[in-house]
Amino acid sequence: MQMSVSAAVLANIHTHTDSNGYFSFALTHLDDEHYRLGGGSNEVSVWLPAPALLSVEETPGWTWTTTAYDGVVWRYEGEEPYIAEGMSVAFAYTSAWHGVAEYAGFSRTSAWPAARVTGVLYDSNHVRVTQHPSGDDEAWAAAIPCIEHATVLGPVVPEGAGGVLGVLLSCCQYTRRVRTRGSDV
Amino acid sequence: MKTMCMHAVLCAAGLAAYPVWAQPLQLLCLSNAPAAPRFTVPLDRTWPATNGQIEICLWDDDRMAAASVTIDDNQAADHAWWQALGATTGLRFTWFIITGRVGQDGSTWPSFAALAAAGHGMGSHSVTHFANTNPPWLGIAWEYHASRTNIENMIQQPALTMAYANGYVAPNDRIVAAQYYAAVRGVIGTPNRANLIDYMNAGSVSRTSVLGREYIDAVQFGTSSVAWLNNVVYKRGWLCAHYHSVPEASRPGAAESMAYLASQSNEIWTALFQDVIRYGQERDTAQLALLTNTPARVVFTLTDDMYDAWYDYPLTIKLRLYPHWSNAVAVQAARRVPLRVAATNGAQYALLRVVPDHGTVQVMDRDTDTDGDGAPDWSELVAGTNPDDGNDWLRVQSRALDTPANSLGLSWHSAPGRYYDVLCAPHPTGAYVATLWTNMPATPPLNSITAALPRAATTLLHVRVRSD
Repeated sequence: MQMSVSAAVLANIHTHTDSNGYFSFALTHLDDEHYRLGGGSNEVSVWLPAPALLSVEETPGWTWTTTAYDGVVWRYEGEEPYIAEGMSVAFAYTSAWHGVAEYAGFSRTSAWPAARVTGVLYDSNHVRVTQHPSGDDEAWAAAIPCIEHATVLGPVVPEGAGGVLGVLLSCCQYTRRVRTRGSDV
Repeated sequence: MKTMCMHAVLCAAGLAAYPVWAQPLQLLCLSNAPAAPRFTVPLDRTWPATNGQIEICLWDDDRMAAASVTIDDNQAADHAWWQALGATTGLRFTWFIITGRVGQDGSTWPSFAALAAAGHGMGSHSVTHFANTNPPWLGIAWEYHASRTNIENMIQQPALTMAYANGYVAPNDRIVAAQYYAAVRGVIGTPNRANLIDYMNAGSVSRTSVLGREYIDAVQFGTSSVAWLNNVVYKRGWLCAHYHSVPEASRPGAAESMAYLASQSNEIWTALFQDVIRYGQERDTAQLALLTNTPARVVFTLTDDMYDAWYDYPLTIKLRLYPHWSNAVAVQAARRVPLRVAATNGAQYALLRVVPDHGTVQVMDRDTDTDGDGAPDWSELVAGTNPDDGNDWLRVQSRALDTPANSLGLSWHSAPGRYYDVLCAPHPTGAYVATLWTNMPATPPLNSITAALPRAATTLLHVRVRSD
């Protein structure tokens, strides 16, 4: 099952699931002609809703950690800046829950919060954008963080699953790289 | 030594002059009339021959000559006319106010304040114009000091200059005037030679109507229809004129003269008296030191001997650009330096507006990124990061994913003396839709905020930095 939503401007996330609790996500560049989302170490992150998390796959150059609100965040820690274009980068986890739901809410506290991608703005030559492109503030230097909300698919949270969730999360390793499914992504 | 004694006298009388006046390299003015030319005046614009070479332009924006138009004795009946003339021509004029007569001769402080708000300059023309110098007259220092204080209190801007009441005759005293003013205008009716300006008795031609081409041509071309002005020594000089009342019948001629001056704005810098004398004294005491000259970067310092709190008018520095610099930028300390590019003989030159004693100036191509970290050198200088360190740039980290609700945590390494704005736009080229923070002072080493995000798929938070 696949889907993509193109409400974002610079980057988007495509979801794939095997309907058995395995979810993979591809961070892709949208076809903006002039700008890219990217960043150096610790400037780029991807948050995904991940209830009933069992395991997380390793993504080279990225570290992950669980967060509040049943999420996992991947942070880029590569030496060279990451620029979202060309080949997509993939993230994946396995959930104890197999049902599939759409996560599209803007708020972390909403029932189905969308994925969130953060980075900073680059131009198509991979040069960090240090001024607003309108040029109306020439005297300023700037960094331009970008935040993209992307609709993704994720596990359906069963009714009354709160107690189960705590047990499942305790099985998961926090803030470290793990590899559970090899190159299945 | 004489001025030192006078300072002590003034302090004892409660008319303390500015405390730094005698400090080395912080001069209030060049108080002595020059005994010899301070430098050789280039009779035409000059153009550095080698890449990266720099020089100070004789006048603002490398113009050929300078001019100032001043008005004495309050002239309430002419305020509106001069105001309108300024609006029409773009010129700005300098008013020398007899402060004791304001409110008594038809002029008012609000009227002068309105002129000042429109960009016109305000200076002193004494308190009483020496209407009665018999007791209980309070003396020449009081005339100078009280008038200045009065203007500054009423107009709320510095009054750095004065015009001698009755010209430079007794009881005027240039040594006393030098304790209070950056320059004083006299009434000697010759153009000021650029290298021989007597800043404590600057020459000025009296006009009632037309400020004729015979004077203007003298400073612009060194030629004139009047024999004594037809002399190359006046070329590239500073023409100052002073008006009193301009009767109705004289106004067309005066207006035509102002329009002509305005039409010559590429060649003649018509400016406030206070700006010309600041440019002149900064220039006359300036030292320009080229520290680095490479195809990647030109670095220099500009210093002068003048009092920095008064003398912050930018001098124009001409720099021959390297041919591969398609878009030069300059930063002084942490501020972008305004510049324009002029081309001649196949070479390009940057005209940089640099304030003396305000820090090292670095000039480079806009795209130069010495350390390859993606942040251009100029932006790193503004942000206070190191353009030679590939691991140092205005790095903004988010904590969006660890925060509740629809908010975003941002943090960045901040540098002393910087201020930050955080603005919000829906698209890289979109207009800002919200200002989340403004003028946030740096709290080195880190600034952190939590910003509420709009309900939009894409949000760009523009974290921009400037220096104080």
